[in-house]
Amino acid sequence: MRAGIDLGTTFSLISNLESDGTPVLMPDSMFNDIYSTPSTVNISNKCASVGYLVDTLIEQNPELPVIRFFKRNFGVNQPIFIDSASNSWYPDSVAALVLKKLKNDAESYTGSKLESAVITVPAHFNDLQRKSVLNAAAMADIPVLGLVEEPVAAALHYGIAHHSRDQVLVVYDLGGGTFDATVLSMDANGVYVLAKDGLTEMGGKEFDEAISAMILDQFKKATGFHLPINGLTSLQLRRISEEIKIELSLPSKAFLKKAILIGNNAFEIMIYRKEFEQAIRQMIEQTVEVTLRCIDGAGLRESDIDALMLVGGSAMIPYIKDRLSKVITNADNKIFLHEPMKAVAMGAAIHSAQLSGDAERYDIPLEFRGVTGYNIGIQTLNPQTRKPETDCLIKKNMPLPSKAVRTYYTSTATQTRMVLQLVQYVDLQSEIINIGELVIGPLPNPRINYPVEVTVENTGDGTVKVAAYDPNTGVELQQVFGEDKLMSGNNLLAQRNLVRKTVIANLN
Amino acid sequence: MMSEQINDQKVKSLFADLTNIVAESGMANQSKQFADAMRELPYKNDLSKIKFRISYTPGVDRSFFEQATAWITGAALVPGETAEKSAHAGDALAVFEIAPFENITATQLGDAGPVVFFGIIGASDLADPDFADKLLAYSSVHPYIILLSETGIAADTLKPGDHIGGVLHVENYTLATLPSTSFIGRLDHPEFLHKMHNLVHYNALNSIESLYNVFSMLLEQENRLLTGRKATIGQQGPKPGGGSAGSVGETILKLRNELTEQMAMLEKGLADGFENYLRPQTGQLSQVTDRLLADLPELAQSEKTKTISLHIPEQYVNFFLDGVFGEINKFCEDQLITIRDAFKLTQQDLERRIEKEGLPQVPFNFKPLTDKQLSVIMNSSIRIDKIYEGALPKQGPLEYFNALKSYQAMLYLFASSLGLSYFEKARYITIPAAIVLIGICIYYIHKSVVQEYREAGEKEYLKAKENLTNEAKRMGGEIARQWNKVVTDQIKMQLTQNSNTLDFTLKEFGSKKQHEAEDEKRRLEKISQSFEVQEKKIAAGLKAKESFHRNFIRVRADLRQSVAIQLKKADR
Repeated sequence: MRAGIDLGTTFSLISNLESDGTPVLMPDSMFNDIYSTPSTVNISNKCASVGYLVDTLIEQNPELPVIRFFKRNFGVNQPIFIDSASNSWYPDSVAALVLKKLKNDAESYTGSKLESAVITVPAHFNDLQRKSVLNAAAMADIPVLGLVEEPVAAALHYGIAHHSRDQVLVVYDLGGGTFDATVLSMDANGVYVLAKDGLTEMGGKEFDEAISAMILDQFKKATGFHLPINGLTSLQLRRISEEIKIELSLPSKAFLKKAILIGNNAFEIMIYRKEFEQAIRQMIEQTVEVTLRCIDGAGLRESDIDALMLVGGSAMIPYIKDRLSKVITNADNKIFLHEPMKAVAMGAAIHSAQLSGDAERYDIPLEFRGVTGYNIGIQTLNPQTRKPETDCLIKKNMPLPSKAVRTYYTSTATQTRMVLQLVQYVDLQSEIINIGELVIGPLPNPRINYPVEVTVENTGDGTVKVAAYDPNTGVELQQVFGEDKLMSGNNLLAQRNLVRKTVIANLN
Repeated sequence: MMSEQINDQKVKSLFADLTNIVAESGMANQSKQFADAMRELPYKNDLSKIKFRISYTPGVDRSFFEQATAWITGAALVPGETAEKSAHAGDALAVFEIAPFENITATQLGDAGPVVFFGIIGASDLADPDFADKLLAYSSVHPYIILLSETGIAADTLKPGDHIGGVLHVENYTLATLPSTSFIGRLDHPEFLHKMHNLVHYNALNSIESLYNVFSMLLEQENRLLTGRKATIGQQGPKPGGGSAGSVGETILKLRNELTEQMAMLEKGLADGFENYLRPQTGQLSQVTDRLLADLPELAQSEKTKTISLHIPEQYVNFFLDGVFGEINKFCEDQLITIRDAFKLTQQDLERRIEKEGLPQVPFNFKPLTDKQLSVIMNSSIRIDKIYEGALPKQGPLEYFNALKSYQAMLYLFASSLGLSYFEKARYITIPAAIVLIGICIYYIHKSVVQEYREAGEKEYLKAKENLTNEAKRMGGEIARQWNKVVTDQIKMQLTQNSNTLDFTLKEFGSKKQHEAEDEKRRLEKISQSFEVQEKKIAAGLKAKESFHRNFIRVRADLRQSVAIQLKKADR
């Protein structure tokens, strides 16, 4: 069996294709009517509880330590949790536990082994974050066919579900924790990404927190004291906030009067949609700004957009559609929601068929082309000014895979190694992400002006590969890339063993 | 009046039903606010005091406010100066709460709230795009709304029936359209007051709904908790493998077999090692003996009357014994190390297996052999039992005489040739020739005697070597016998002692586990029984709740309809 996995900030899903090529979600093996797994993990005594089971455990033990939102830590090579046996857990290894759970669910549902999978990543994920996902999959013993960007996966599903052809589509993907804007063109042959952009810490989590703040404020006003927060009340507050967000997403609701129970505190709240919209307005404006920047990045005008597809649970908030319809007037009547919760996972399953050569069998368009999400460059030190300078090798929004070759020279006769910093950035004024140190050497015959040809490739799944050659001999030089930034060597092995030894709890 | 009493009864009866259901489900004290609300509700259905709310636009025209409040309360009030105004309404007291417009936020559970809401609306509120939503929110908690606006607002701004449990009647006035009878004046009419009383019941009924909702949540939470507990309780039981007494017994058997096997292998390995060590010619002891014997000096001689006795020099014997001692001792010491390491590895292996099975650590104690036992064996065995003693015949005329016997004929021949007549004429030839031949003969006799003597010496030397080789073999064999016995005894003793320790510890653990498992089983049975009780309680609560809700919906619909019909005539 091949699957598509949507590894989300708040929820994760796994999907595969039925014999006729229809993508279906696979249920939780413990709760058979639930098709999503909260991306929450509790680790204790070499056993990990993942998903809804964690909620059940919190209700019994409000102080239970729970790991959430680990996706936001991808690409940061630092532990996020230390278990009772003093084992350090990194975002990659925690994600591996969620993947392991999804794998178990899929295998228990289909009765066959998970051979390989396509895993989705936010379109704006940088190289380090993508490699973190690959690390997680390796730790969970899931062979990865490829990574696919969440908006692209959703667009693939939309394209297949609606036989939609020949159009320029903007995918506005506002999930639980990240936001992506992607401009795509679709035709009968396939899907072509024209541009992409996004925000890392933006999504349902922030919106739920806005509602939680309103509830806490109302509680304080009604009772005169602050609501005590522990694991259980925090879970209940999050649940209620999410419920309220969903109810307020119904177009007819101007306000919501609701009796709620948090911990042992029961009261009645009144939440106004306008107030909620006010609280999230700034965040929505940011997403609109990024969407417009993305359209601009594709070299298009708003009037060139044929349709705008809303994906992700948070995109169901009516204010978002209203706001977008004001800026993308051409697509006003073509702004629509498409399977906001499921499209990404199901699109990933479709992409798994594309990558494994089954596309024709299922009548799935064969072509797929992504673009680079960032400028990729090498940071060097200007010998005159002694200031760092960035030499751009691959530009943003170039078709994938993209390759660039540049020759650098040693500056002294005794220089046996060359150290280059690889960076990714949207523009030089914004954040420059160091994706790792490329150490070349020892050079076979050190001398001044020794030429080293560096090849940088942004691969089909958006990760960065590098190689260094001696241009005179064509011989590849010894090199190490990214060991300063990514989990590697013994640590990777140790984390892999840790994940392997950790049993995923299953109540059945 | 009749209908009012009926309604009052209906509400009280519904509340009593809810109280009973809550009490039976055991949820009454799950939430303090819920418990408080359940206790306080009957008193909130008090008809002696009817609450009204007046909200106004901050900055509203003062004269307009005064006229509006005069129509409502009977007294012209100044905005911001009065928060509460009371007036008599028949036998009851009408209490007007006066506050600027603000968003309605959280309310206490069971808080029925004022029955009539008066909105004194200024121009600035009408300009506020969110004002309609604000009013809509008020209409969700007040069944009767009277709007008084400076400039007039659209008639359809609020419609009765926008919310279930919400507004039933809306009146919309400007100063110009205000009815001649003031609101406080209306309250003097028993019929109108009776409508207000029904509104109190209706509001009380609505407040029961929020309590019902919380009760539903409590039941749902309890149900979820119970499901979770039921699901996870199985996981708290004995761990697989290390748990049941049966599995402990199996583990003991497996570990014992493994221990016996490992000890037998060790014993065999050591014995085989010694056998190889002693193997003639190729064995290490044999090679070392050969090396030592290569240094064997000439045998010492001492003259006897007729013979020369031969023996191995004492210094060499000591050297040889030291060499053999050192060699065998080293070999045995290596075996001591092997035994110690094997014991250690076996112990570690067993401990690892035991840990893996989830069993408690067993206090194994493998005692290795000591140097002392070895040195006793060595000291008693390294000795020469039968030392070589040889002899050579003494060299003298007799040896030559004996040797001469072999040459006797030749000598006679040569000697007689001296007197042969045939050669008499050539005596000058025959005599020297005979002398030369006799000389040669004598030379060979001498040579033969010396060679025989040397050969005899060499034979004796070899005998001495053989003697020492045999002695070395004997010592090796003797040590091997004793050593193997000591080693075997030691291994067997360790095997027995540690097997017993293993048996004892794990059986004790097994029986403890069995008791624990029985206790656990009893505990789980008790928990399971308590779960069943809880489950039944929850199921009963859920069933009663559903029935209550159906009743509630019906009563509310009736009340809503009757109150709405009554209120239609309210402004008349």
